[in-house]
Amino acid sequence: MTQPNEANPRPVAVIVELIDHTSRIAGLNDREDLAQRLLAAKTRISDPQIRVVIAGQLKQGKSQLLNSLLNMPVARVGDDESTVLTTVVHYGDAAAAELVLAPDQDGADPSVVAIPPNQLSADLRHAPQAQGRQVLRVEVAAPSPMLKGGLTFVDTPGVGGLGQPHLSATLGLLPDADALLMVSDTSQEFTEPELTFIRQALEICPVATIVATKTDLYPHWREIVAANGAHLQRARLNVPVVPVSSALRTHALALNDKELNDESNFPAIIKFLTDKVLSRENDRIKDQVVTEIHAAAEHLTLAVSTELAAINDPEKIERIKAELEQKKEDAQNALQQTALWQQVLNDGIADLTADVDHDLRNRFRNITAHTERIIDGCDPTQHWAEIGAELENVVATAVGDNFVWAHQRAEALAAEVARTFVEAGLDSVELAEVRARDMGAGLGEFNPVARLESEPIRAGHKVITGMRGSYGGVLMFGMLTSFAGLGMFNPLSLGAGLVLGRKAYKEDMENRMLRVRGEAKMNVRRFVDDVSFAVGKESRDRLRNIQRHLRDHYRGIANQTTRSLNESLQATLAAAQIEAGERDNRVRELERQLNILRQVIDNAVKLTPALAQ
Amino acid sequence: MSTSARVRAILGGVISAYRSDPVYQHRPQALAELDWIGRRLDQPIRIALAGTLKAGKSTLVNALVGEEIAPTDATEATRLVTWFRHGTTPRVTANHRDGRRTDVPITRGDGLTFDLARYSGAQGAANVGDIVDLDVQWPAAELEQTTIIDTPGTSSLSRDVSDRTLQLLVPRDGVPRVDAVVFLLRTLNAPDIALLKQIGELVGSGSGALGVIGVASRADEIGAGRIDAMMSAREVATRFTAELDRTGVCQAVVPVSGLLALTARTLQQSEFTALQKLAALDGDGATALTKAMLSADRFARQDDSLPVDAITRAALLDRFGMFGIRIAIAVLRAGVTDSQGLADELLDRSGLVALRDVIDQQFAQRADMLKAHTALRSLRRFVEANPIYATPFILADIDPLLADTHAFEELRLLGQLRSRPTTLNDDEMASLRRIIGGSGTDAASRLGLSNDAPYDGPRAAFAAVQRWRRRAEHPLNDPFTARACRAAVRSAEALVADYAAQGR
Repeated sequence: MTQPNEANPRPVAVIVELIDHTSRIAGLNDREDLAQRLLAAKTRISDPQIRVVIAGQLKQGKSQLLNSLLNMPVARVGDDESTVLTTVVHYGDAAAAELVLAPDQDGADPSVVAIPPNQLSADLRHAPQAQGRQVLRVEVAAPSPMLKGGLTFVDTPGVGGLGQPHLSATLGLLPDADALLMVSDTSQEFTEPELTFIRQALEICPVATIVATKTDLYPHWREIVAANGAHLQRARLNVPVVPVSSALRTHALALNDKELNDESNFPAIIKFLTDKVLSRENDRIKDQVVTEIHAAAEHLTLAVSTELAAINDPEKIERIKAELEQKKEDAQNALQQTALWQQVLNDGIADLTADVDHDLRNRFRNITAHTERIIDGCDPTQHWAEIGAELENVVATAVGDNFVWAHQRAEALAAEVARTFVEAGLDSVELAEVRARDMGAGLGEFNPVARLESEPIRAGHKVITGMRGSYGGVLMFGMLTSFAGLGMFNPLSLGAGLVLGRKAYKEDMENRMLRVRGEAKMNVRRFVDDVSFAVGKESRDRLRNIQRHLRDHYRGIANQTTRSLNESLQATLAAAQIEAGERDNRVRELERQLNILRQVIDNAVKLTPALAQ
Repeated sequence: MSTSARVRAILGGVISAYRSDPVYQHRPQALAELDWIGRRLDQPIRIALAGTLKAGKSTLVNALVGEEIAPTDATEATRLVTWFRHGTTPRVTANHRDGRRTDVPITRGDGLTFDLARYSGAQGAANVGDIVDLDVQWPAAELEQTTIIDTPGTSSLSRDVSDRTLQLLVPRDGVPRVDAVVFLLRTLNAPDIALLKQIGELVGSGSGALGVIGVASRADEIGAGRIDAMMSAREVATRFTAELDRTGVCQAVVPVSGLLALTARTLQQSEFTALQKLAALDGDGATALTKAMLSADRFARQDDSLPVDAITRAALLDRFGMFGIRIAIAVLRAGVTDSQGLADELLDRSGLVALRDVIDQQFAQRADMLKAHTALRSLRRFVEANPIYATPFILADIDPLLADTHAFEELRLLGQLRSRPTTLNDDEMASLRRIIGGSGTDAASRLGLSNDAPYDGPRAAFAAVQRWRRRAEHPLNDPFTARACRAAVRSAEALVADYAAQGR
């Protein structure tokens, strides 16, 4: 049986080695700021989590799929609705399980309680270990070889039931996800909510496959898969459909029967995970980390080579000094608070907040208008359940669409900020550097500063997608749940009219109808208002978070650039005072460091094709 | 006077009122509508099967009728509301939006197939959208007492298909088109429950869902086709019942495997023989069979180690499903030797028998009341829409009857007494059930009077009123017990009033 971890092409060891070399030199040069950044990069690259979200409607076999994929009972399965909590499954040397609890009233951080793994088959919402606090999710460590490569599965509770009626709720988990397995069984074709969800999900998480489960049970699964293919084509969604049978896979593993395993078609899922997910066709994290190393190495090269140049040619010291001063000033001007990129960021976020808000309001306005028209055209007491269900549905879809749209806009904004930062910020510093070179200052390796630049472009992605385990997902979940149940709510019934006298009855009936309609409309508005209040707050918070991340990120880079120039200046000054006897030693040491840094840069370029340009 | 008789009396009065009104003498269609409302009282009860897409509605229609008369398919099959009525000769009629009626050609295969695709091909594709519903007349004994209506699934990808169902079940004008609904659930999801609530308000009484039975459909699949699948399905159905009971939309949920039931009712000797051959395998053959039964694909593919050829096996699979085959083999191995025995066993396990019992209890025994209720609502709307001088008087006659839902309350209680705990002892329970009509609705059986002492009625009724009034005020009663006792008081009071009216 193929295990995907063999095919993991992420050269973690090499990258860690590069980081170690670079941070040692950073230590020698007293650059603890760079060392810290490298440490963070190291943590990120050695935390190889690849999140695969498993989503779908109730009773489609999501947990069974996960269990038979891993050949381990990690998720709760049963004939009735069994998965009640989001379950996160990652690698661990021994099986272990933890509950993540919601903060209590004091506002303490979410806390974690370990539970025996054999309790996983129970309903954990009210586990005694939680001590009455709300359980947010279950974290399971499983010693499965398949997870060794860093795969982490997120098994979601089935949606469509009473407690969790909307698939869009799962959307909140997707910005964090590297891949999505959308589970739909072969007993029937896609339903309307499923297709809506697939459309929305693909916008956020393009690495996805649809898993058509239970092919062992349904003789006509081929027709269903074909019909679904046609539905997807009609909706212009390009996503593969993989028909599988978890039952066959379980038997195959129990009997060690390769033929059965092939029949279960699980190899196709594993192939998907290997080719598309583990190989990280677009491995953003690796790219980011390597660029990080690259930038740090170049910062160091700047300092080291300047010092070297100063030692080798003491006459030029004054000129180098003057140039560095000038550049430092330029850098400060270009990169600090008043700089253009800051404006782009601030304006962009303000615009985005307004646009997202407007978009949501607009969607809700249309929904309200539409619903009110319906209410005017009928007796709302008779049709309230229908209207309510429909309303909840369109509101959930609107919130989902708005979320997807805001996400895309935020990514575009991050890219724009990155562009401005590079073009108007760092490039202007580089202009000074071009002049310096013209003057023959011999600062040949200064170029690198402008290098650190190509990294921020991708950072935009990182900032948004990088808020791992953020509240975003949880909140979307909770929010939509709290509004479910509108359909259960009924305006005062018309039946009360029966106690009235016969004569007054008819006129009164008309008034009553007017009042009931008014009441129904008010309920609709109140509901939409509540949702828009919560969603508005959530999306404003999310955008502000993104703004803060971007600002800190680029300000950090700006500070580092200034500091690198500053350090070089100091080094140049120091070089002037070096004793003749020490000079040779210092030159040797600097050349050694420079050599290592060059190698690091070479390797980094090799690892990331984008850097080579 | 029974409700049904009262409705007839009111209807008679209304008809004569309209006949004598000069305005309506020239509007025969209004009178025809009244006639139609009256005729409905004599016609079989109309039961609609509803549920989400692919819930197994058509299969259940077939299982209930015992013949394959509703077309089924792996993908969305039913796109039109189809009425199955009793008729002496098979006949399918399409009702068009403009009121036209056309015959649809019937092709006879294994059962009835009326190929709408071919039909629309002949008539122009636009016509299917133009058809309101299909009317199938079929000479089946099961249809004599009930008219069954098959509906397209809700939450279909094509909106207009779902809308057809909604128009039938929850029509905008509030006039019920059906008397009772069997609602098929695969999972409990919010839209289903919302729809159920609406149906419940329209069908049966206005204050609850007496005319609705829930079915946990495709029950064999709930347990993924395992041999104990029906046990799981029963547990799931119990939970459905509990949750639906809380929302008050539906009284009972019964697990049913429509496919298995249909196959059991139409089991053929050739199928029995093939299954018997498979079940008789032992040694290597049995191992091969076990492996073949792992998945549908395996069971239907070429495999020389099995005594039955692949085509037959594929046909068996179509008819039984994976669960059906597994259960049939198990039953045969347990020692059933004839096809009748197998059919009985399968029918029993399919849950259809239980469903028919519930339908009988909830619908058939109360058919008159359900129909009377529907007729009253229709009549009320008609009178409001076509006002005459007598309209207020007619409404004054109708509304008390519509408001009098005690009979429905009795039936609701009869259902709930079985499942909910009370503080009543066994003896009290037995007489409570009797007084609210559990063993018959005439005075003698309500009071438990024997035939040889018929003159004891008034005294016994009076005693019952006092007894249950006292019992209702018992301080240790929980709310449900108190409610049941109060209902008993009211039933007994009605008896006293009846006796008084008879002057005894």
